[in-house]
Amino acid sequence: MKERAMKKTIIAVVLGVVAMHANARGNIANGEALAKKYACASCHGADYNKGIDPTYPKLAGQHADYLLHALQTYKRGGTKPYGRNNAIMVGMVAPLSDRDMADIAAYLHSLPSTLVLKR
Amino acid sequence: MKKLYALLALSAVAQAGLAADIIGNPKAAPAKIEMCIGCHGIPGYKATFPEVYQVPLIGGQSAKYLEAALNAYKKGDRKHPSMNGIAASLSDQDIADVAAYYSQQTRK
Repeated sequence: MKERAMKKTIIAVVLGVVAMHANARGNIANGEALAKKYACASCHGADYNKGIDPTYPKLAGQHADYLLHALQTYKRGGTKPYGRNNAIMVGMVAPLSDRDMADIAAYLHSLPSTLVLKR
Repeated sequence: MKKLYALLALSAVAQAGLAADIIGNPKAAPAKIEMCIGCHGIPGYKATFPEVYQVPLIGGQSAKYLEAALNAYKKGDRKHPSMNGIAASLSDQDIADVAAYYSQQTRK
């Protein structure tokens, strides 16, 4: 009986940690839904490994924290420090909350990637 | 005379084509990537302001995107002090060479 209660507690703690982790890093499933809603793939490519124009970045597997940063730079816009000016992306990020951006970043990071870190 | 005009027109077009297309040479890049590898060549390397984030993976990225990004830092469309300084020090040919070099990297 005691052992059973202990097991349940451990499972609850593990699940809680997993949930918190997912929360801190962005929710992949919600990110996928948002990417669909805002049609990110219509420019960045169906698998996010090849944009429809070569000047558009590959996003699949990119660091989630960098993707979140990049989205935030567009949100800051072209006149603020650490901002970016881009005719398309500034408009795309306008309706997104911080939570939305973290979720989208987590989703894109989770996809099979061709990006590498080499010298 | 007509033929001469045609020839002149053709050569002008050909020259314009050459001037517009700077071809990136990955073999010329190793001398130019020293500033890149100090951050982008270190696994887990993080920038810390205003967000804390790992600097982006650039190997295997589209060459034209890398050129566009570097030019945006050069022009100031992207505001980031260290990248603005580095991009400003690169010529169009340097940017093309570095972009070609990183775009050709693969997982193997």
